Amino acid sequence: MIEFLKRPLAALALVALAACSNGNGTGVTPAPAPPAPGVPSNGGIVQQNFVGVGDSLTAGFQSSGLLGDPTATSPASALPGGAVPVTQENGFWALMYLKYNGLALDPAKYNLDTAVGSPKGPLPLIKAPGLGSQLVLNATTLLAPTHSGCDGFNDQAFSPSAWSLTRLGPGAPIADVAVPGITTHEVLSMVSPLTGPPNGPNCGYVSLPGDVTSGPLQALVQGESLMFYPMLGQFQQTLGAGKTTELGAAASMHPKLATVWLGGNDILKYIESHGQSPATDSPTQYASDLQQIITTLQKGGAQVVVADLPDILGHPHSGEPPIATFIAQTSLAADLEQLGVPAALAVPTASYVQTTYTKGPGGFVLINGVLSIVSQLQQNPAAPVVLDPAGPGSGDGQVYLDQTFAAQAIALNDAYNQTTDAVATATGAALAPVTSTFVGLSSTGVPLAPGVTLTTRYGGGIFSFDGVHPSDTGYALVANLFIQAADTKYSLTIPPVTAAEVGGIASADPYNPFVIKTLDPAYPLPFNQ
Amino acid sequence: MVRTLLRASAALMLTSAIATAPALADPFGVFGSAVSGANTAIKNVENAKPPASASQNVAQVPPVTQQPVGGPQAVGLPVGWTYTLDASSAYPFGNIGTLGKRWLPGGVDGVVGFGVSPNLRVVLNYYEIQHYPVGFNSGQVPLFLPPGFPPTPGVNPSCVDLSGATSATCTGINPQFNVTTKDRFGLALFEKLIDVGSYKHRAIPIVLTPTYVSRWSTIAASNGNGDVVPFVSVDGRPFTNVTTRSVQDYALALTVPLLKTPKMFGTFTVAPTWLVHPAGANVTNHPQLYQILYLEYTPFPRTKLFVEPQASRDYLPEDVYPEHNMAYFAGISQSFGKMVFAQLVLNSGGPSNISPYGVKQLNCYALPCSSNTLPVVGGLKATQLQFQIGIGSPSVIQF
Repeated sequence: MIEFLKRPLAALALVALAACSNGNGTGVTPAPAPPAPGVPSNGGIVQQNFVGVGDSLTAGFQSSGLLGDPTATSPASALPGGAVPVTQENGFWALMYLKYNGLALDPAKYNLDTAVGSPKGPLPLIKAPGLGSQLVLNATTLLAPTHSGCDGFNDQAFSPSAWSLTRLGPGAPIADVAVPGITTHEVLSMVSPLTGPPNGPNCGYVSLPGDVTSGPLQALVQGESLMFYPMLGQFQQTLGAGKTTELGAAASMHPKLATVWLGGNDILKYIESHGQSPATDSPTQYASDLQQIITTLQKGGAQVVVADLPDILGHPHSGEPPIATFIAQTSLAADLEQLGVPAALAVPTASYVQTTYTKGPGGFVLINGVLSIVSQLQQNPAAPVVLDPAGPGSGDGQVYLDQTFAAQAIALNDAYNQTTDAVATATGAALAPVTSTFVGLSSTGVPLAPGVTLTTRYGGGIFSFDGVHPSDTGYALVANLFIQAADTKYSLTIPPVTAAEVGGIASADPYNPFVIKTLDPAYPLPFNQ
Repeated sequence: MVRTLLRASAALMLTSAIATAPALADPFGVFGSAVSGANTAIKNVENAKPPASASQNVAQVPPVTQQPVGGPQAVGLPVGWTYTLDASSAYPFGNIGTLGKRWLPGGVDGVVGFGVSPNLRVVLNYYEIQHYPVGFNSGQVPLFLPPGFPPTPGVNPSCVDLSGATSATCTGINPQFNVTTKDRFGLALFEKLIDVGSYKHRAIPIVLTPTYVSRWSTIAASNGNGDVVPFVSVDGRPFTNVTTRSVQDYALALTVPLLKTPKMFGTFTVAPTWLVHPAGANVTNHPQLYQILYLEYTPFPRTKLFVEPQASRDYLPEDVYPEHNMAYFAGISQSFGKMVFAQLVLNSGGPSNISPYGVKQLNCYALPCSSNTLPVVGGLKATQLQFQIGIGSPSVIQF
């Protein structure tokens, strides 16, 4: 098993933040909006009844990629025909759009034959091979990226004039303006990419002597910089270059109903930067920003549904586990064993990691760190594992989380959720209770049939391969939270995704381990609860 | 931690990162030369002896054959060809920061005019002035990261010290911005002397001067690109390809006599001015009113002391709204023979409606900041001593 798991290291090193948060040194934003191929002078903007404001979770991001083109294939994919699953059409917002408009789901076809699968539909559908670097099931390495996150296709997205080449129907009216990687404050203020495409080795950025805004800080804002123009570029035709924000774009469509789900990247960037992210709101700033977003939409006539966040690192004291990409120190030994590491080696290794890196049972190792451990043990079982790639502490935040810092991140996550709930009450917005729902899911999972239950652990089927973004099934559950909140608060009659439909989605879900095992019986996941 | 990161980020400015801001101060104003011709005409009229007949109080018009250089007493605008040519250099005063005080690049002025008659003259004028904004390289200014980074007081932004000094809170920047500026003006003036009455048998002359002004500039930090230097306007808009000091104006100057004694002379000029077309950050084009007071004392026939306070209006492409400049220049002129003169002028000026002076803050528009940072420029004041030596038609240089 250790031999088997030599393969996915490179792929999984790209998970979560790298793709969620991925950037162009276009420098200063020019005043006039440059022409973009295929985009009409009015940007194709029309009034929309239902609009989505948010980040990757609202955009339908999965497995470190954003893809809307159903024709995408990749030699890396072990799915029949080398198919690469689309992501956008299966997001919660897309499902809610279909329900809001009374359109039928077609989970067997990933909804490609519905309105959300049309280039003229409400989603800013991305061409193949997709933005980011989507992870797919691979016949020999378990998981593999379909393409490089810093290839020419991705680089086009940073260009104020070439971004439309990444879109199917770049001039079509869209209603989901969510920008993967964006933070709450950036929804109000970001008007252009914050950095340029990666210019360093391994899709990274070069650190310039004396300039700490180079290198890691560029990487921290790469995601929203990559995604800004493909999601919002067409609005510059009407709102103006240097003036188009996500909130401005949403408000310009004068929606009757809007979803707002933010804060996830604030927390994740805080974690990834080990608390140094200057893009992360303080809870006070988050309250102010979220309230401004909601009230701006309300003043334009929209009913707003806002959602809180999952407990990203769980709650160790109550036993709630973290989301899939984070492996609790307390489960590390068992998870290593499940990946093929002998117990006699897994237990002392986990103990060494706790002593040297996580500094206690309240620490975490990210999934890429876990797989790195496996790889290192394969190469030299006697050597101590190294989780700091560039000196002491360098991996804290990106490979592992020390116990003290993890507690700070958990506290920030709590504060955000309390703030979201308070702002929803203060503004009269409907609240979709994601926090409490995921607490329940973490203990019960999603039982599909006797012995067939999806879980929130890595590979368990509720999250996609990046361990941060939901699977098709996970998004369907989230869609129902928003639908129910809207119906209850505003007396709407949006039908929920039925149990049968959830079952249908799960049965075609490329992240469902029971589906995957039919293709690869040796699939070693999910981790046990 | 956030603060630590941002504080360290201030160190990034070591390269060409910080595009230099344009210099705004123009203590001379556009109409310094326009006033000169009008003053000459008014002085000549007032110096003219009263006519023999008290009833002939308008007859100040000289014969069209009168020569402006030497010869009989001129009675109005110089008639025929006149010229002035001079070279100058300037030394800056005030706190110009760590660039270091030194003589600024030299300039030349040239004037050629043709008087059709004592009350009608056409003048073409080219002149250069040099200056360096006071305080441009001094003091601590905030550093703002790109839009999207929450403005947390005391944490984000941090600051940088333009003096180059690193302190507990700010990182210094070195090298400094070289914003040594040479402004160039081309003017076309149409001077019309009008007699509007008399007082004690002497004519009361005024001069109307319709004027076209074109100005452009060279800023040292443009790296050979004239006056194109990136900047952020005071309303927060970034500009990277604007000729910051290139502008064209129309004006109509009116100069009236104010004072005349055997050794003293004074005039007052008002000049409504319009942009030929708005450019860059300009958002309006309402008429601006220049006001110039000119006072002169001549203790000896070849020596002249003068002071010229101005309420001038600059409306350059980097200005959202016009700058209200309060300026003065004061100096002494000495002539040598009929054609050569030397002049020493102390001048100073800065906007009263834009503060603070110098670089207001630094905005980073994309990461890394070392190649994507622009300055937000406040008011720019300049003070300098200019030395000038030249030759020209005495009637034009008013000796």
